Amino acid sequence: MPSEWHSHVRPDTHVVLELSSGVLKIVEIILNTNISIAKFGTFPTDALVGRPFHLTYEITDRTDLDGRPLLRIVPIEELNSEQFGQEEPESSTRASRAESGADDGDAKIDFTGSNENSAMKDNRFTVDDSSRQTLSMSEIEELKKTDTGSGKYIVTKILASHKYLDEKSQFSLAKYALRKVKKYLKRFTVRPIDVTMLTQVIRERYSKKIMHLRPEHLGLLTSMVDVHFSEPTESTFDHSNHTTGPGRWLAVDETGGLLVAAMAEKMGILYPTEDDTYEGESDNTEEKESNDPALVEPCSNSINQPPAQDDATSMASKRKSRASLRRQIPAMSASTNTITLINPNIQSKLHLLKHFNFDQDDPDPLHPLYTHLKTLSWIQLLHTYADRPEATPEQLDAWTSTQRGSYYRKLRRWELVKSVVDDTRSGGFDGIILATPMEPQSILKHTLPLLRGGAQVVVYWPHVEPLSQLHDLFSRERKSAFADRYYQDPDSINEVDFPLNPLHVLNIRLQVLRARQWQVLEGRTHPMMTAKGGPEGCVFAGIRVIPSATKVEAKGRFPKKRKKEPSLEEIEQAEKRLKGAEISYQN
Amino acid sequence: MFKTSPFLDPGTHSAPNSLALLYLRRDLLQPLLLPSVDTSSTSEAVDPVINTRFGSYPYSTLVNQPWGTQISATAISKKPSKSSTANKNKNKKRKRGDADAPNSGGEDNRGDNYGDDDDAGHETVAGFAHLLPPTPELWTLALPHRTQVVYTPDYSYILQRLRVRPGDVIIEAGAGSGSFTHAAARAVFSGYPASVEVVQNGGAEDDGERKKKKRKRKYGRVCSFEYHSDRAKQLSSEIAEHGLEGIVTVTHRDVYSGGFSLEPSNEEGGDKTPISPNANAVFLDLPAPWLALKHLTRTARAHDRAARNPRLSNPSAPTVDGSITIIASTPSNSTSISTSSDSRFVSPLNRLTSTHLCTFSPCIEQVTATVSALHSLGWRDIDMVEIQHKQIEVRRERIGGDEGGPATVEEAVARLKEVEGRWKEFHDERVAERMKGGRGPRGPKGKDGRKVEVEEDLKDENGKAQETMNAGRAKVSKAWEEGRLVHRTEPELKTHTSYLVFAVLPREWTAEDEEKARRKWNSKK
Repeated sequence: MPSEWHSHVRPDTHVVLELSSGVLKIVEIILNTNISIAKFGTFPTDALVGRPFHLTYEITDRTDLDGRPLLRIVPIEELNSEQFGQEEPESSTRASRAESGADDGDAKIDFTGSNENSAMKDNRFTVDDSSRQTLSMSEIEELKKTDTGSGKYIVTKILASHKYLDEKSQFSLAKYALRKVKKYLKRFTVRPIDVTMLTQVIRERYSKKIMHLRPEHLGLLTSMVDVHFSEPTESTFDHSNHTTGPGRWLAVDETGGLLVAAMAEKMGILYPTEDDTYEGESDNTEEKESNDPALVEPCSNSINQPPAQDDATSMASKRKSRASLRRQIPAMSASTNTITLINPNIQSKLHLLKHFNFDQDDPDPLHPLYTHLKTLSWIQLLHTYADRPEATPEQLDAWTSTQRGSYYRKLRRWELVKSVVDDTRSGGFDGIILATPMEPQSILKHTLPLLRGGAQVVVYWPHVEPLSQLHDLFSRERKSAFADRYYQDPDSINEVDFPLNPLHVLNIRLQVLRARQWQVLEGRTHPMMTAKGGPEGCVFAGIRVIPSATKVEAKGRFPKKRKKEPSLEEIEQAEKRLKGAEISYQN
Repeated sequence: MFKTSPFLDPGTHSAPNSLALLYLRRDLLQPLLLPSVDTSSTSEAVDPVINTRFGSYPYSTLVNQPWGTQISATAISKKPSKSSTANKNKNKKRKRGDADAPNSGGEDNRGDNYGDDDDAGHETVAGFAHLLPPTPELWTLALPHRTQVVYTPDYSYILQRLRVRPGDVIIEAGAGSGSFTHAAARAVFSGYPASVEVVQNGGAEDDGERKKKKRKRKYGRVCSFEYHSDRAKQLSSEIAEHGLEGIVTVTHRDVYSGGFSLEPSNEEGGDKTPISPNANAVFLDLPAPWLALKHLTRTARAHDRAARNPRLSNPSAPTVDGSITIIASTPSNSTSISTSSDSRFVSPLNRLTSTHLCTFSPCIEQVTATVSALHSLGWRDIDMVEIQHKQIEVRRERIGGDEGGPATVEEAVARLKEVEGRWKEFHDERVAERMKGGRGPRGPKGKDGRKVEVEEDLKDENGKAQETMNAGRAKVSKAWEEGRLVHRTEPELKTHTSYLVFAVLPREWTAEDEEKARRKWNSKK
C-alpha cells in the first residue's frame, strides 16, 4: 500500500532532495552509486537508503574510506530553532555570538540575537551600505574553498564580520542569519516523490509543460471529478446489461502525465505494489515493542531486503522477466478502477509517470498502471482501428518462425486495441477530466455521450476565457432555446447554434483558487511578500444529466426515432448501449 | 460484506434504501433516503410523496431510475389526509426534513414541512428535478448544517497536501457536520473490510495469527472524533445510512483530554488497552488545536513531557497573545484524565511513516499558538496557507448598456442623425403650416398642445430607432448570442474560511536505527 512506499527510501525509486536554498532536485536512488549536488559535493547514495523520509542531512567534513563526505542527520530541534528562534528556555544551550565567532565549525548559530539585544530595537540607525560587511567577496570565496564541511563556519564568520550586527533589530538579525544559512549551509532534506511534490518541482522551471497546474488545482480537479478507488462489488452485476465495473474515468491529458498521476494517486494505482518477498519476512520483530499495535499491519522493514547484486545483470534479467510477464498479464485489462486516456497523437505522452516507476515504453507488468491505464487515440475511438491481421493455417505453416512471431505480435496488438476501443465505446464512464490545449467543446461533443447519468465533467484550463465560452454553451438562454426547438422539431437543431446539447450538463461551476502562503513567526505573521504569478488556472465542473424525453411543463411531440449521423456511427452505437436509453439529439 | 456506499459506487440506477439527491435548483439539493419497500407492489395509495418548492415527486418515480434523469413533477391533487398519513408512515425511512426549511425539522411538524406550496391545498405546481447520485461535493452543499462546514476548495487542498491516499488512516477531530468526513472517506477508501477485521486489533493474538494478518490487505479508515454528543450521534447515523460504517469510525470524545486512541471492542473480554488508529494523517478542526497536539506524539515520554507543559494542556493557561478563551472541558478534569492515561499512552500515529497534519483555524491567534506548539513538539515543515477561492459567473452583457444605448460611435451618430432629420422635418412642417396661416391640424391648442405633440413625436423617433435596431437584431434573432461574453466573480464571496497550518512529524529514527541501516546498506567498500 502507498504508506509503505512512502515510509522510507527504497532502491530503484525516485526521491526529491530539497536543498537548503529551497531548490528541489529529483534523484534516482541506485545502490552503490553516488549523488552529486553542485556546490555540495558527492556522497554515497547508500547513505540515504533504508532511512525514513523527511530527514535533513548535513554534509560534514569527515569522510569515509573513499574520501566521500559523511552525512549527519540534523535534529528537528536544530532546524526549528533556526526557523522560528529558540522558544524553550530550558533547551537554550546556544553559545552567545561572541563565543561562536571564535568557535570551530560545529558551533551553533545564533538566530535570535543575543539576550542583551532582545530589547526592542528599530532600524532608525541602520546604514544601508554593503561596506558594513567587512569580509570581501574574495575572502568569502576563499572561505568557501577551505570549508569542506557543512558551511556553518562560513556563516558564523560572516555574522561575526558584520561590523554593526548589534545595531540590527532582533527580527532583522534573524532574517539576515537565516538568509546566510540558506545560502551557505550544505544541507538537504529527503522527501518522497508524490504528485504534490512533483508538481512543485516542475512548476519551478517548466510550469508551462504542465499547463501551469498547481497542487491546489489537482486537489480540486480530482475532487470535482469524484475520482477514487473502486473495486467490483455485488451491485456491479445487478444490472445485467452493465458489463463493465464501477470506477472508470476518461481523461485527456497533455501535461505529460501529471493529471493521470494525480488521478491514479487517488485511485490507489500510482505506486508500484509491494513485492511479495517484501511482506512476510520479519526477522527483526525483537526490535519492536511487544504489544505494539503496528504489528498487525502488513509492515516490513526495508532493511530486510538484500541489496541487489550486480547492477548490469540484474537490470538485464529484470527486463527479460518483464517481457515474459507481459505476455502472461494482458495490458490494459482491468475492468474496474481504470483511467482511459484519449490521445491526440498515436502514442500518449506520459513521461512524468517514470517518477513513479512506470515507463510506458517498457512497462513493468506488476505496476498497477499496466492494467489500469488504458490508452487509445481519437481515430481509434471515433473511426476504425486497423483490420484484424488475417492468416490461414496454411500460411502459418509456410511462414518462418519470425514471420509467425510478427503475425502473433500484430494479432495481440490488434486484440488489445479492440478490447480498449470496445470498452471505451460501451460508455458508462463515471467522469471525464480534461487538461489539454485542445478546444474543450470538440472533445465533449464526442465524450459526453460516453458518460453515465450523474457523471462528473471537469475541465481545466490555465485561463478563464475558453471555459467561459464553454460555459456559454450551457447558458440559460441557450438551454431554453434548445428545448423549444428540440421538443417541437428536432431537425431544426444545428451544430452551429448548439455545438453541445445544453441540456446534457447541469450544475456548472467555474472556479479559480490559489493557496496563499503566509509567514508565521512570533510577532512577524503576514502573507508572503511575493509569489509566482502566471496563469491563474480555472476549473470547469458540471454533472452529466439525462433530459426528460418529453418537454417538461409543455405539450410537445417528442421524437421516438434517433437520427443517425454516419460520421459518428461509433459514438451513436456507444450511446445506444448507454444504460438508461436516453434520447439522442441531432447535432 | 458491507453494504456498498452510494458515495463510492452508486451503480447505474437509484436504488431503494439508498441515498439520492434531488437537484431542484442551483445550490438547492434535497437529500433523500429512498424507501426500502418495493413501491411498485404496494398500492398507489400509500406511495409516499416528496413535496418540494418545485413540485411533488412520488417515491415510485424516483426509485430505479438511471442516475441523472430529469424527473417531471407529478401533478397530485391535494388530499391532505392521505398524503400526511403516507408521510407519517414512511418518514422513519427519511432522516431529515427538507432543504427548504432546515431549521423547522422536528418530530411534530415533520409531516408537512416538505414543501412551501402545498399548504394552500391547491394542485401542486408542475416542475422538474434531476436525480443525482451523492458525491462528497454535492453532500457538502446538501448536508444539514450543524456547524461551520469545510467546503470543497479547502478540503480538496487539505487532502492533497496531507497526501491522503487509498489505504491510509486519517484522524479527524471536530467532525462537525461531516463534510470533511465524507471527502476523507472517499480518499482513504481501499475496499470494505470484512466485519471480522474491524475487531482484529482488539485482543491478544499469537504470533501465528499475526503472520496471517500481515498478509491481509490494509484498509483505509477515517477515525472521526466529535465532542458534541448529538452531533456525534447524528454523524454516525448518517455514516451508517450512507454505507460508510466500515470506513468511518465516529467516536464521541473530547480529544483535548481524551486523546485519539480507539475504544477497545466490547466483544472481546480481557484486553482493554486502547487501540491505536495507526494514522498517517491528521486533520484538526478544533477551536484550540494546540491542546490536542500532546496526544499526537510518537512516544509515551514525549507525551508525558507535553502533558506537563501548561501551554499545551491547560486550556485556561494564557496563550501566546494571552487573549483567547478556549472552549474545553474544565482544567481539573483534563489534567486528571491526562495523568491517568499517561501510563498506558498509545501513540495514535503509524510508527513506520511520517505523519502529515493540518489544522483548520479561522483566527490568526489560533495559528500562532498552534505553530508554536508544533514547533516545541518537534514537528517540521510547518507551513501556513489560506485558500483563496472564487466562483466565476459567466453572462452576456449588451454592448451599449442594458438601457438600449448605442453600441458604437457610428451607431450613436446614425441615431442622432435620424433624430435630427426628423426634428428638422417636423420643424419645417410647422414653419410651412404657420406660413400658410393656419394653426395646424390640431387647431387651437396653443403652446401646451404643441409641446405635447413634439414629445410624442420624439417618443416615436426613439421607438423607430429601437425598431431598426431590433430589426437588425432579428436577422440574428439568437437571444443566447446577444451581447458580449463576460465573466466576473460571484456576488457573494467567501473571502476567508480558515487558515490551514500544515506540518510533518517524521518517524522516530534513533542512532541505533541509523547504525542498523548503515550496516545494511553501506556494505560495499
